[in-house]
Amino acid sequence: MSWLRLFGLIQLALLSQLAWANDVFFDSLPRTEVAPDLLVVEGRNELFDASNYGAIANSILIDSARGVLVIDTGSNTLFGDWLQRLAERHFNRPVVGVINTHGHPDHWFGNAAFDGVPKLATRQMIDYSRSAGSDLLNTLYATVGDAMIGTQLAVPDLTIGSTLQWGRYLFEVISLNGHSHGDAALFDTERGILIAGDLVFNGRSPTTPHADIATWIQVLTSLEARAPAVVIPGHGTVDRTTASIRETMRYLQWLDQYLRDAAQDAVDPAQLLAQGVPREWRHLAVVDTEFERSVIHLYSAYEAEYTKEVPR
Amino acid sequence: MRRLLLIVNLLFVMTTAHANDFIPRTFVKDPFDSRVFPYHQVTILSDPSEIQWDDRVKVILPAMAEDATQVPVFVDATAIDDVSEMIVFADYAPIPLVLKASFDGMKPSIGFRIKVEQATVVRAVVVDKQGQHFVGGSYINALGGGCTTPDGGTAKADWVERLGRIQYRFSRTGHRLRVGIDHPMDTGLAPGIPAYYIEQLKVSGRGYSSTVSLYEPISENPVFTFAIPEDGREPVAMTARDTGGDWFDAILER
Repeated sequence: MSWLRLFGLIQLALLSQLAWANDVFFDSLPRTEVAPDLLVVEGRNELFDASNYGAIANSILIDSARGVLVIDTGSNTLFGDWLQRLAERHFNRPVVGVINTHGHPDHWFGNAAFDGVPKLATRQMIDYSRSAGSDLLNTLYATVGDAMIGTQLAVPDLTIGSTLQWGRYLFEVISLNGHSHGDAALFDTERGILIAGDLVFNGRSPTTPHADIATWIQVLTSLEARAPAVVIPGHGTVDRTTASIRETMRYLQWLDQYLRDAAQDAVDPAQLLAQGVPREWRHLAVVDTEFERSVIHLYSAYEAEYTKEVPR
Repeated sequence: MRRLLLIVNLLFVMTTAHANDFIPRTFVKDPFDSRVFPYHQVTILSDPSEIQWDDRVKVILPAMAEDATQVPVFVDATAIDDVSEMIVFADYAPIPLVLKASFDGMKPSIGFRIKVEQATVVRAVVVDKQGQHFVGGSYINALGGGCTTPDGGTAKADWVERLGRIQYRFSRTGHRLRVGIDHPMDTGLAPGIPAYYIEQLKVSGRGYSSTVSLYEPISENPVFTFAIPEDGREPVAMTARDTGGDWFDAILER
């Protein structure tokens, strides 16, 4: 055997180890069968990191005679490929459609794995992804690292309508704002299944960089009024009550009041960060980081409401 | 042989000393073990002999620069007596010096926002009336691009209309002031945009004042937090001067 061949074999062995490692990790993610034809894969309630391969958001697979629909594709092609294989394994059918609930990268960067498959999202999501996509990709390469290799942007190409029939489900597509630029939530009235995207978080603090808090709270009120039997949040475990909607709402109400009080009292943003999050919300995953991001992105708008301008 | 070794050794020591002109007189036990701090010690601080790390100098920063062009910083040196000057700089930055502030009849604390180009320690060095230097600092992680991104500043079309607009707010107790002034604060590092920033800011009231020299890393449309010693009805006077020779004056009524 030549040295070159040996070297090649070793390299192959190493590569297969790598592939194996992330698949083992993805296989270890909790899966919930909401119905025999509706499977939820739960990402970790963590931040983007090399150790979680970027798998931090929930993905949903819905089976039908046509094939499988994937709602939210994770953070990279690696995960998208794995979802593809999971669909084959679990439902014995290929993925034939993709929906992205909104434009944050943990929900659509796996799209490139579904080449030639139609991808749907709201018009605002598509516009946002086109303009911010490459910056977001840079950020993910920096935070997630190797698992991003091979990931390319595959912005959804079709605007989602107001209803969606898939298998035995008839979803009302609720196109809303609040969490980001154009969130889509899917609601099956007959079975009371709500696919909420990142409008609802369960056990994890909400992400607010692009949030309009007042609108978001209104949206949650209207989602709760539909009295869903099952809430599938964008992050966190499947909720068979509506507790996750209320928790998200209460957190946002608290955040709104907290920032408002601080702005009225001329508190410096850095001092606000040092005060941190009160006990009441410490049980939420990654709350320190999300609170920090909320202060950075939202506080100056609150301050602007309460400052006086010197007449010129 | 022994003598030869000694001479070689001596020569070696002399050459290494010569090779590095930035060996400070006093070694600071730095918890961040920064490679460039000794350099800043010599260049920015003029190599003081009385200098030490002190936890009482608090530098409050976010853990991560979510927006690298607007990173809030709060420096609190209230626990140090007789502060004559406060110097703030970043260890790793294209332009390290951020500000120099003095406080007369006011608590030595200040809040502001900076641009960061990369992950760095941000330091505050407080000098007391005896000339002793106390060093504090915190680390911030960043993906980069704060100082050289042309977004903002005079790159925005309407900056002239907003130039010099002053907004402020006092806390409910009246002991804290947040004051902001619209200004592009261009560093001169973005291609085609010359340096243009507020270089001096002063707030004053009856029996107290603070003068702050500002440098390029201060963010666009800067906002500052000051501790005000009296809570009465008295207004606070503010004045700012920029590198273009413009003056911005205001009386901040309660």
